Amino acid sequence: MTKQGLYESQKLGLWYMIVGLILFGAQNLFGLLIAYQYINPDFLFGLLDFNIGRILHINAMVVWLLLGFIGAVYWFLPIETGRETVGIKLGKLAFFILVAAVAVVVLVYLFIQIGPGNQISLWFINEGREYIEAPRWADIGIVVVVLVFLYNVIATVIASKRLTGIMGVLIVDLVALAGLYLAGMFYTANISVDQYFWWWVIHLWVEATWEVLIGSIMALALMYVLKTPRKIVEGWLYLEVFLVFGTGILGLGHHYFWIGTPEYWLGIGGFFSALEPLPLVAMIIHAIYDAGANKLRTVNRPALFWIFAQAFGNFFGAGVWGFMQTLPQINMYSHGTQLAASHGHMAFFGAYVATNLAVAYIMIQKVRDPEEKYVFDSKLWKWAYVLMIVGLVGMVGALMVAGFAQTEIERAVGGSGWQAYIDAQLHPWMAETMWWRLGFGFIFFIGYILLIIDLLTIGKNKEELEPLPETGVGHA
Amino acid sequence: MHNLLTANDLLVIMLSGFFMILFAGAYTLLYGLGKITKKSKYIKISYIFAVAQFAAALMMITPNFLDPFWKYIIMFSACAYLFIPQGMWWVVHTSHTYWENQEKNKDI
Repeated sequence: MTKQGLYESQKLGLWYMIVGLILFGAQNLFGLLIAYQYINPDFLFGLLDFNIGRILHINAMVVWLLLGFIGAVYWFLPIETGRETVGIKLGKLAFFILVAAVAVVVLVYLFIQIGPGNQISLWFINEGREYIEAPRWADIGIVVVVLVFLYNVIATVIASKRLTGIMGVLIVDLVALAGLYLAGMFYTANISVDQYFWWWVIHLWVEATWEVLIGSIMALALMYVLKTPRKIVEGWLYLEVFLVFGTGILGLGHHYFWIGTPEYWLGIGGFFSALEPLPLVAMIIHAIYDAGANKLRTVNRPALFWIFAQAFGNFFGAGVWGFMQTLPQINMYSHGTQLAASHGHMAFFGAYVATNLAVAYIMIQKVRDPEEKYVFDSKLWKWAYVLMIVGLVGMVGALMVAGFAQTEIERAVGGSGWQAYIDAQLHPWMAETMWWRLGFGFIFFIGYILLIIDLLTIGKNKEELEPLPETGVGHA
Repeated sequence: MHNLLTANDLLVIMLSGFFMILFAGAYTLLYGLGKITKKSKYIKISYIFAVAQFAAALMMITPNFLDPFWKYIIMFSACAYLFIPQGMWWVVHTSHTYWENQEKNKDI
C-alpha cells in the first residue's frame, strides 16, 4: 500500500484516470477545431483537415472513456475483494504499453494522416472503420491490454474467494466487451457484411456492454458516496442488466435499417429501439429516491452531483434524443444528419463522461483525505458542473436545430440532391447554429479547465472542508 | 390506405416523439419528487405531464401515416410510461425498506 493507504491497484486506477482526463482535454480541443472548420472550412485546410480532426475528436473520446472505466475498476477491485489485484505488475506494464500505443497512433493521425488503400495502411495508419480507426497493430495491442485487464479482475476475484453480485456482472460484461471488439477487426470486401459486424462493436459496446459496465461502476460508487446497502444496489443492477440487455441488444437493429440487411430488421430494430427509453425513465425514480432518502447527505458532493447528471443525462441523451429519430419511417430521413451528432453528444456525456467524473472525484478524495474525516466539497466544482452542462445543452440544441434543417430541407423536401444539400447548408437553421455550437463549445471547454483546476486543488486546504458528522452520512 | 408523409408531417412526428419521452421523464421526475417530499402538488402536476405524454403519442399515431404495427408499439410504450413511475416507486421503496430492515435487525 502507498502512504495514502492506497492499494497499488488503486494507484494504477488513478494513473488511468489522469491519462483519461488529459485525453478528454484533447477531445475538447479537437472538437473546437472541427466546430470552427464547419464555419471556416479553409482553416488549416491541407494541414489538418476536418476528417482528421474528427477522427481525433471521436477516438480521444472512446479511448478516454475506456481508460476511465478501466481505472474505475482497478480502483474499486481491491475494495470489493479485500486484497491487492493479482498480476498488478502486468497491469502496470499493460498501462504503459497502452499509453505509448495511443501516443504513437495520435502522432500517425496527425503527421501521416492517410495512406493508399492497401494492407500497409490498414496495419500501420488507419483501419478505415469509423470511430474505431486505430490501425490493426494497435487493435491487437488493445485486445492484449483488455485481456490482461480481464485476467487481473478474474484472478483477483478467484484469489479472494469472494464473488459479489457486482463483480459477477462485471466479469461477464468484460468478457463480452473484449469479445465484441474482435468483431471490429473482421475484414470483408462486402460493405454490407462489413458494416453488419462493425455495428457489433459500436452499438453493442455503447448500448449494451458499456451500459452494464457503468451500471456496475455506479453501483460501487453509490455504495461509497451514499452508503447505499449492497443488497439494494445489487438488486437494482440485476434489474438494469435485464432491462438494458432486453431492449439494447436487439435495438442494434436500428443501425441495420439502411445498410443492405434484410427487411425484417426494420421491425426488429424499430420495436426494440422504441422500448429502449423505458429503463432510462425507470432509472429517474431510483435517482430521486436515493437523493431524497439521504436528503443529499454524502461524503462527496461533486461525485454525488455527477451521479445525478449521469441518471438524467442518460435519459435525455439516449432516451429523448434517441427515440425522436429511431422509427425507420423517420430515420430514413434523419440518419447521418446533425441530429445523430446531437444525440451522440448528449448520450455520451450523460451516460459515460458523468460516470468517469464521479469516479475521478471519489479517487481524489481518497488521495487528499485518506482517513475520510471530511465531506468533500468546493466552490469551483459547481462552476465547472454548471458550465459543462450549459455548454453541452447549448451544443446539443444547436446541433438539433441544424439536424432538423438537414432532415427536412435536404432530405424530405429536396430528396438528398446536390442542390438540396447546398440549400440546407446555407439555411439559417444550419449556418447560424454552427456558430452557436462553437460558442457553447467554448463554454464547455472553460468548464473543463475549471474541472481540472478543481481536481488539482480540491481538499488540499482542510480548513475549507466541513468535518464528517459523527453520526456519519449515507443511507437513512 | 395510408396518407402520404409530407416533409412537415415528418417534422411533426419527430417532435411528437421527442416530447412524448420528454413528458414521460417530467411525469416520472415530478411523481418521484412528490412521493419523496410527500407533497401532493407535485404528484398532481405530474399527472398533467402524464396526459401530455399520452397526447404526444396520439399525435404520432392519429394521422394515418404509420402501419398498425408501429401504432401498437407506440401505444404500448405510451401506456407503459403511465405506470412506470408508480411501478418503479413500489420496486425501489419495497426493496429499500426490506433491506434496510434486514440491516437493522442484523445490528440488533
